[in-house]
Amino acid sequence: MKKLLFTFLCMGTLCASAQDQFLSEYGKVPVADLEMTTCDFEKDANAMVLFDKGDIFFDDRFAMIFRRHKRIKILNDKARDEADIRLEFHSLNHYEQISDVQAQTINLVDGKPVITKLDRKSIFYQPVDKYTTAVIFTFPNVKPGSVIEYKFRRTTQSFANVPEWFFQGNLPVRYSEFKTAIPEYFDYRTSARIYTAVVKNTSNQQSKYLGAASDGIGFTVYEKTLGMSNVVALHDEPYMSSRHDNLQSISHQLVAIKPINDIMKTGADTWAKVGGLLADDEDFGLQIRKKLKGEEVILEKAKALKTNDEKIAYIFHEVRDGMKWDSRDRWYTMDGTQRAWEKKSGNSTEINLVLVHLLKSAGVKVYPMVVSTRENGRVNVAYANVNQFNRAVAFIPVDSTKNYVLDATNKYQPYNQVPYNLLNSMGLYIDKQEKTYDWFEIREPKSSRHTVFLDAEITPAGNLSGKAILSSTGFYKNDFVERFKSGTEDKYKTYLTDKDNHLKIKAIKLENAEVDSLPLAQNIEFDMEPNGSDGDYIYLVPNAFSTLRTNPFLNQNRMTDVDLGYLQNYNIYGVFKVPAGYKADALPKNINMVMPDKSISFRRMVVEDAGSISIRYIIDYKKAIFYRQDYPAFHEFFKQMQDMLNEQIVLKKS
Amino acid sequence: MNRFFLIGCLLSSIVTTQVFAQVKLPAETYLASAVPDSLKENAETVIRYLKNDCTIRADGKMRVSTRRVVTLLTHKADDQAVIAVPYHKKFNTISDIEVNCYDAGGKLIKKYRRSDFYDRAAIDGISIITDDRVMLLKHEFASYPATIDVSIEQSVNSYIDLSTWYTQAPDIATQEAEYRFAVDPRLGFRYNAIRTNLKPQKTSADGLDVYTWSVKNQKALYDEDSAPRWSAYPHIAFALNSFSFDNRPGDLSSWKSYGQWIASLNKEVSTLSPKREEEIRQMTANIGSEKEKARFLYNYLQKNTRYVSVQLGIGGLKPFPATFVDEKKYGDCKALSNYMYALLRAVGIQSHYALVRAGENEEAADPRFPADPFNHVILCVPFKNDTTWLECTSNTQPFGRLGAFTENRNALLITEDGGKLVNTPASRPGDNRFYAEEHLQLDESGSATASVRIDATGDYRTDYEALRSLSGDDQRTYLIRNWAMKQPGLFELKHLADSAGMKTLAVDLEYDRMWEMASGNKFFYKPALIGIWNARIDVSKPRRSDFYFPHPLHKECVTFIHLPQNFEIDNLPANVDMKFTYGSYVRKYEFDAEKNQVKSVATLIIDRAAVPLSKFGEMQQFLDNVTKANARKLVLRKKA
Repeated sequence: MKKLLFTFLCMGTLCASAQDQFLSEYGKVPVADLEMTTCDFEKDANAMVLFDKGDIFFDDRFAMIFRRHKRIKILNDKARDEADIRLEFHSLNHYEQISDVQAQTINLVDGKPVITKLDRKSIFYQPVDKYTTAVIFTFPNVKPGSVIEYKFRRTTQSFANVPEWFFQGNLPVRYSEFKTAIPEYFDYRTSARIYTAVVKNTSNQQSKYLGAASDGIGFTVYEKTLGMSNVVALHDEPYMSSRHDNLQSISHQLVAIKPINDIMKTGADTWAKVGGLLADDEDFGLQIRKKLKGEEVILEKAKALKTNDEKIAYIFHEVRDGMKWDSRDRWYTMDGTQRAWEKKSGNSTEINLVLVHLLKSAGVKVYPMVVSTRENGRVNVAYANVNQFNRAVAFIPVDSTKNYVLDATNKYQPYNQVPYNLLNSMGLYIDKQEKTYDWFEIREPKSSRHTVFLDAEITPAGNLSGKAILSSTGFYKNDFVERFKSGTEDKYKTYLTDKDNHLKIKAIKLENAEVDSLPLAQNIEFDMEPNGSDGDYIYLVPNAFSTLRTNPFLNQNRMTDVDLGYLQNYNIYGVFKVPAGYKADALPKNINMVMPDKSISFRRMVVEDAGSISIRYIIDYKKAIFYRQDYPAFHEFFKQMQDMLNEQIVLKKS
Repeated sequence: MNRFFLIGCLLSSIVTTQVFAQVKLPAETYLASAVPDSLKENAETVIRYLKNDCTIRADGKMRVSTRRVVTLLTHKADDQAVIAVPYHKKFNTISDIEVNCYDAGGKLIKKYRRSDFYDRAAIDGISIITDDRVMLLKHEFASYPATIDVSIEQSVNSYIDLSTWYTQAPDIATQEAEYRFAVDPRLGFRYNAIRTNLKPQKTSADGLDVYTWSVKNQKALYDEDSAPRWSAYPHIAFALNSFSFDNRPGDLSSWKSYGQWIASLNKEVSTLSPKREEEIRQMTANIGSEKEKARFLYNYLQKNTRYVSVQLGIGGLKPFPATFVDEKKYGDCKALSNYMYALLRAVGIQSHYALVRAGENEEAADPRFPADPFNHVILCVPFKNDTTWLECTSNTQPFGRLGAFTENRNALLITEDGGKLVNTPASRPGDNRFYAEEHLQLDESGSATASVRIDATGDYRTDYEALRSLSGDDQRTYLIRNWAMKQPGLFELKHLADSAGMKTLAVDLEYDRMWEMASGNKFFYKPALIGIWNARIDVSKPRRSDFYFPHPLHKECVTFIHLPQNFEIDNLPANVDMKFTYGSYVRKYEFDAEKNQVKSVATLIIDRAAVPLSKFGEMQQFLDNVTKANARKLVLRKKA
């Protein structure tokens, strides 16, 4: 990945900026900020964060304190809702507590700042559920031009829970700073995702002494500060990977606690250790050994099958169709595989460890593998932390070129295809016997193919009547099958015709929807009344029944990589019989268009022969991920491609 | 932006039952194969047995038991296995819940109790905090069909009306359902059946009047686009003549008396301090007419306050005091309307707080059936012969304009004499006007430059005003899609004036290649940049309910196409002039040889939002023809 990874430099003071140009004290708002009307590095912003400052330190009882001070500028009336604040914390057993909440609005009145303080009575503590409490408040006297600021203190009874700090968000941030002051007893590993230049990066150490002189202890506190300025807002974009993958942030993982004389490891700090712990984890590795009630019937049947492939397919279908995923994603089991099997439902890891157990029992060489779904974000392999994963799957290495990654949570998932939401990510598989814990890069090298065959006759009245066959493999097939099975046939037809009342599906039949080894074939009979026919002219769009109706990439700018997930090969073949008395007046031209880096090609070939017109489009992707740096070319390609897909065959009465 | 307040809907979605007196149902009720085939048509879910039993012995003492047994025919009915039981921290108590799950053969596979539910604060997406909570549970069925039996028992101490029962819902068939009210006769039970002839059986027991509605073997209906639920599904509304809310008794026997109860809540909170009143009088001292004073104060409200919804306890119905809003500068629809009322009162202008059911094409209150179907508050200023309505939650709505959110229905005015149901104004096509003027300069090379100016009023203005909350790039993308434009190389949007209810946008465009098709010296063009009609009407099933446009509309697009010098016309699209009962479409083309310019004018008018079922076919044909006419091409030729 072309991501710039930032890691802290080692000890030693680098620089310490004496005067702070970015921050100011609570209540001290420069008049310039009150007078400002636009965000100078993001002109179309409706509000901006003037600064956001987070401090982590430990109190005398080693409780972790997180102190935050955030100041926001309301630039216009579209941003008034930014003044509604909700802060949630884990309140069960006083695990966390938010206190010292203060907030105020600053307005410029007759050239002078006027402060309106938030009244204590207007701060609500709402019990959200058993675990969570929310602190809720809204600022008084907010109008376009207002500056609002708040601060609070969060106390946590855990060293492990340093909050992830986001330098970036929905609003542009003029300055964001995160400071940690950590006693020598705690060892954290950090992971950062940073693209914007760092304007403050300081390290420092201080000696601290606790308790009375005789029985007190002295220790060192390491301070680090990281600051970033002019961070633009991140808006959701089509085909971006998870939002979390793209927001600039820093996270801390506790790897060790060092009591005064000894070193006590608490977390796993290498992947080998993570793997070893997983293999022996009561809620992971040990689950695989557990016998399932009535499994003999399935295993008997599996044994009777000749090939490994047949066994895999059979067991996969038994689990996929027999168990229901409860929509929960965890890397560990909650109720355990045995209970899940009895209930016939469970979280993703329960279902897939049931699958691993059955496959293993049937003699298939299979490993559990922890993975992270697209929504959960990419795995940072430089950061050994099991909490990056949110699911387990079954991994079967067949030979050097063939592997299966099985996820039985999705009812429409074929056994012989990589699940869409794991594509292009990394999985860690656990081979307990060999004590091998290794990475597997989850990829689908094969293109998913979709072909539209159209064979139609044009009547002298200018209408079309004919047959279409849509043939799809891979992710195209999954998508169609899922759509077909999750709605009514009428709704499905409406989807295929895009509600165009001039295109009518008279009959449709799906073949091979259930056969994992064959392409899906949709046989369609249709009538079409071309729009726009006018006097002597008939206009015919050959791009019927295609899913390429609109260009998803209209935006001119792009903040994140375009992640299409998989390689695609899209074809349209049309044959149109032209009635006597008409002839082609204008035909789309033969064309071959290729991205500068050859990653996408678009070809169109047109032949007119003996009263019929044949047209063929081939769109081929050699890449699934397009970096944001390459977006201008990508954007232009899609623009031109859409124009060409919209070009029509023009027939004229002769 | 317009917002709701929600407490009025508190009871509406509560399904509920009696566990202790629970009748043992015949085994057949849980047997999926016992669903008659006739009920499977269009259905994903079949209600096998529904019993809603509501007993009210005295004001504020209501017990509701609900039992609902449904069969999920396929996985498509999966959402029926999500049990959500909403409640209010202060106004009702869920005393018991039981959920039993059965397989296709009617075998009990799982039991859940109250303690199995996940309890959390409800989020309405609008309020920052409320007292509403919800208990949630989902059973995962591994195979279908399957059946789920839910019993809920609760007591309710605060209510206004008794809510509404929709006897039919999309994709759900009913084998047997019963709705029962047992009420002390002195409380004055009433009901109002809409789109149904269903009648109750009336008996008495234990000194109570008992009304029972039953439904048997009712087929499922399929859902349709552009049809609000109230207009498409039968429902029965229930109410008592007396009610109690938060220990405040009230009389719902007439609109007048209900209005008095609302007035009693507002009474203590609608006065500003004498000092502030004086300041407000000073501010408006130099303004002549009352109407201009009101306009000034409405602008003052829009500039200085913002919408924030906090709904706690009686605060769901009673506004924050005007003094609170005056000091903090925020409030919900009740608080802001009440504040506006107080501002007007300070300068001696009478106005009325008005309850309304908000939402595009929402159901009007039935004048013959006093109840509380409302979810929003606006303000009515009765100037002589010039009644003015104010939406007080919006920072951008023009003075005196309501829009599709609250127009064309009725509202309950709270006056000194109690409640009075009056109509809100209905907009006419000209009130929602979209006017585009396009100047397109074609170049011989195929490229083009264009400038477009849009004047928008009514809901079009509201839409374009709301656009400003998006980033510049997202605004641009939205408009290219919304106007069904050919993707330009350059699209530069400017928000120009927004005054007197009209907003103006200007767009500069560039295209590398304007034509859609070319052949030899012939070029085919779309004759306008903006498509004024791009929606498609679903005809996959026979229409069964009335069709609703969001609002009446008048759209016009005038396009001047300047031809390159050496180009001439090959084919001008045919002129079109079409009508249907509630609308018209005209498209005219003219060629001015002297200027070498084509002028195209397209005008679409829809007279009213509601199109009755009987005219649906005609309307759909009409709109399909509009689509066709819009797809015609302008054909130009290079001079030989």
